[in-house]
Amino acid sequence: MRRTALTPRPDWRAQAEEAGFEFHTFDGEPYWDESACYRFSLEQIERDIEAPTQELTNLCYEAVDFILGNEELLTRFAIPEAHWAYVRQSWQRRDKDLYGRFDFHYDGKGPARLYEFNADTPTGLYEASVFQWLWLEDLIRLGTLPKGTDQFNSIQEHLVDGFGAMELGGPTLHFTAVRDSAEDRGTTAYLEDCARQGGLATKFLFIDEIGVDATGRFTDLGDQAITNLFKLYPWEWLFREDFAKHLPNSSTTFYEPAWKAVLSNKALLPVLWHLFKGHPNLLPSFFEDDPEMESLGKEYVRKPLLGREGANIQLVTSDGTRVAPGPYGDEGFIRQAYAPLPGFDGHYPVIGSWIVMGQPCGIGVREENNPITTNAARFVPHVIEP
Amino acid sequence: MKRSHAIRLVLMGTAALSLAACDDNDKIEVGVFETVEQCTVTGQYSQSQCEQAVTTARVEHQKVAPRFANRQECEAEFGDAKCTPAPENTSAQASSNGGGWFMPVMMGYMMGRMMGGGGMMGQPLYRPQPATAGAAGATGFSNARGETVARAPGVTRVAAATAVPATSPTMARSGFGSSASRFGGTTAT
Repeated sequence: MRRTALTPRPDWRAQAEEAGFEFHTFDGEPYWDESACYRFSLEQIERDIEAPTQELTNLCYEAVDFILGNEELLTRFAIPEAHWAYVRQSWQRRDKDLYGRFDFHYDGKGPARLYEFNADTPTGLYEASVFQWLWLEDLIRLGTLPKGTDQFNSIQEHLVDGFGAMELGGPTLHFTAVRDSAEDRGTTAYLEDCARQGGLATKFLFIDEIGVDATGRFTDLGDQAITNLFKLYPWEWLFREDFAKHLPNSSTTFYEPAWKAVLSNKALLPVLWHLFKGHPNLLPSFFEDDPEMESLGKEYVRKPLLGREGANIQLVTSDGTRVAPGPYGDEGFIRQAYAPLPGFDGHYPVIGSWIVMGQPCGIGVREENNPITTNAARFVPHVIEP
Repeated sequence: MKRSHAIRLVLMGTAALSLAACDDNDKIEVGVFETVEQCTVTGQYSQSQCEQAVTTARVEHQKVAPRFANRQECEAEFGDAKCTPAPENTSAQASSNGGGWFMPVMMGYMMGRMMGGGGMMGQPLYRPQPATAGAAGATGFSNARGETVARAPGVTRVAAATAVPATSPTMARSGFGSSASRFGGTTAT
């Protein structure tokens, strides 16, 4: 694994806009950054990233069983008790999940180690699946990269196949996201695109446009019943909002399903460590009332149970404490061993490894100028060297 | 090869938008009837298809008929004695005089082949009152969303969107989405 500098294609912005990549720039700073790329060997990809992604997925499924059977844990996970039955039913019915992203510490030398699992509302999908792919094809065509250069990225093929195999309870798969977020809207539009290619009829509406009819079914703006809904909106928010009372009787099938609420929660990390202590792809993690927490020593990371994009993460090291600002933390924190992002010439990459319908199928690399990944990270493309 | 063999976008990007917009103009053939007999005499549908469609429409009717907060509002739109209490009313609402939700009586049904293959769909139809009392002629049949489907019984062609089945009147919105503003708008992880 190495990082090399490249000259950006002069027309990449126009290309991005043509391809529907509307959030390529964030707050005036480029989010898509092709002034460099990360290079991996095929062995690094298959042995160190792809296989552990499959392995961790299986461990997570075991953890769901364990957590849902334990009321004390459900309380710790801050799942409102009123929704325990609903969450458990979604798991007992084996409601299918669509996708997720594991964030890894990886430096090309040791095994990839899990920072966290974005199981419910992961983004960064389109740029990994589409724009990174277009970039590689372009650079091979231009002769900048040799023929035979590859990429760990069959995300779109897996998404289209996955939607194609989906059995809907009605004529339409609905998609929803918040207003005013180009990134969320873009991610949802991309998934909708893949669903159409998979042969499904789709419709988008904003999250606050969802209605409910007299029998408690969710409806769209044309009063059509929403039988199947992809929501880029976290379960921990849905559970606490007004329409949550309609969830059990709505008969709507959600993607991601409600049981993903226990995997997208940072409390998963100490549970995984408890169940599979010493696993090479896990970092030691503890609840804050666990005396074993002391084994982490003086350097550790505090993560809020429910937090997004690096907000409220505290880095405690011998150099002092760094705190990322944010609105989260009310539900408590967990502690994880300090595994600083590896530095590549002052850049700090984190590997996002995608799982679609249970199969690892690609990565996206986001890098920062400091060791906590936030939503200001830049997306840097990668290649597998021939 | 560890990457996709091809990438295609049908919705996103500048070229794809025109593709998505054409679909709504498609028309499909449907039958609009008040009775099973009207359906069978057309010769277009079998006895069992006609019966199946009316049975489906009756079940759908309970779910999708437009709801009104009281009998007066319902009758103003659909006519005297053309409204009944909705099935979801509690017995307490029903026993209090005129309380609970009201909905129009089913006056006919629409049937046709489901889009994307599959069986026959059946949808309930209603007959709104003419806007002015004594206006000549009926307003014809409308679906549960209030879209006019046909003037009179028979086989006709309607916009595909009109024939989308199983719609339900929405009683409330904005029950989801409040956390987004509280936490700064993004859900991304």
